[in-house]
Amino acid sequence: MLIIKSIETKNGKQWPEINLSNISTVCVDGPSGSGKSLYFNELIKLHFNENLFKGYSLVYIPQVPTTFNGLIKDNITLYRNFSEKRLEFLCRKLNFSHIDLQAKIYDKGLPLSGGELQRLIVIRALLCEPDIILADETTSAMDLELAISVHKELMSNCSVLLFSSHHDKLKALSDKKL
Amino acid sequence: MNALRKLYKDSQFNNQLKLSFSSFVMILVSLSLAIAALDLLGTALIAISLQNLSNFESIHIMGDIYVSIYHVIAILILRVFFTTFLLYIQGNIVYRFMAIISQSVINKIILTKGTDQRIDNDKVMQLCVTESNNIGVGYLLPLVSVATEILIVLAMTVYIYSFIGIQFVGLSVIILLLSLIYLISIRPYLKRLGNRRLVVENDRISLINFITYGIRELFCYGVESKFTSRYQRYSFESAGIGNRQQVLKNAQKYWLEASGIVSILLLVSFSPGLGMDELILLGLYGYKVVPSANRITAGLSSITYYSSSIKLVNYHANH
Repeated sequence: MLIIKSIETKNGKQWPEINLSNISTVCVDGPSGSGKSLYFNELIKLHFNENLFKGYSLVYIPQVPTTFNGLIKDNITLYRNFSEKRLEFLCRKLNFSHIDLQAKIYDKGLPLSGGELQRLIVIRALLCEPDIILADETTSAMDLELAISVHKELMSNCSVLLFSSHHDKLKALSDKKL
Repeated sequence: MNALRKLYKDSQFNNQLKLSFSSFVMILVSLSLAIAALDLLGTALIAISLQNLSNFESIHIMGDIYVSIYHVIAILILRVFFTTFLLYIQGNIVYRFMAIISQSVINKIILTKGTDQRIDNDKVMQLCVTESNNIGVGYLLPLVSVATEILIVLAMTVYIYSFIGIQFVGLSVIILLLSLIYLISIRPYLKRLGNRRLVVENDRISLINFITYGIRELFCYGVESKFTSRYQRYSFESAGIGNRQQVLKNAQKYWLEASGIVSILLLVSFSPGLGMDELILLGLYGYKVVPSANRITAGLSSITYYSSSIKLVNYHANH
């Protein structure tokens, strides 16, 4: 049984307990500055310090995409070995197949756009087939249609998705709101 | 110089710069001449005093006018004082000029804020302030310093030539050729090393940013070791290139010194008539010219590197 106990974030907000047994998608809701990112940070901290999601693999997709000077492919795989087929499949699914993976990107992800960078880190997350995904406003730079398709892709590729978003249509796709 | 003139022109729009471009250049040139004259006077006094004091004589300059060793020491102290003071004024003018230019670029960006979304204004501001300093310290000052050193070397050469004659020309040609051979042979290699180091440093800093901001992701994916080892590789590579650059630059000094000694030995063996006086003068010439040649080559390499800063600030001042 997977239960996340009540957590107090640094900004003083108390987040309620969640039982993830019969839930696959949780929306961490709240206005800007309410501490959603802090909540995700606390979850990661608890996972690494106290084995919160023991036995489950966890990935985190940050609000601001993180990249480094190097090939787009290396930025996706982070120098790990994955099958080319899986990579191609995800690129196609996430509307990323028009990008040359052998091209180089620079600090802050230039010359990719904000939406492309967000899809890059989504592919990075989905490549390792995680059990739990923490997605912090992952689709904020995408149009609604693309955001929904990326969101559905995230949902279908993991057991539990905890996400935050300001799109009402995305919030409506969740099983539970915090 | 054209790019610098354009920069000067761009700094005019907010009426901050009262100095005209020609006055700015004239002040720098006259300061260079003053520094060169002081330096030359000091070195000439050392030469004359060594030449004459070997016979325990006072130094007769013209007729009844003479100076003792105490006068020489006093003049040398004054020379150090005035040279330092003039160098300070020179630096001050250059810094003020560049500060005004960077301020102008910033003002221009603030005035046009919002009209061009492609420009990241904060970054441009930061860039222009840094690059303007680079231009001032890395371009203008070395430029002035190179001009000063060339004047000193030229004046010393004429002075020594009047004492020693045609043999000195042979010596100068040998030193010059040996120095040029070294400089020409290492220049492309140094340039390649500099470019490579910039790329490696850029990648290394990018990796530090990634590790700092993406630390949670790194933990989740379990790839910390891949990135720390890559960071170490970049650090070692950068340090290695830095060492090679340093060794080549230091070798330049030893090459010049060695070529100077070899040239003097060649001159002495082929000209048995040279006396102690001439050798003292040659020694002093070497003492003065070797550091000057070093400063000239160092200044010239800085100018090549920082000319890109001028282009960058000029670009932002015009867009």
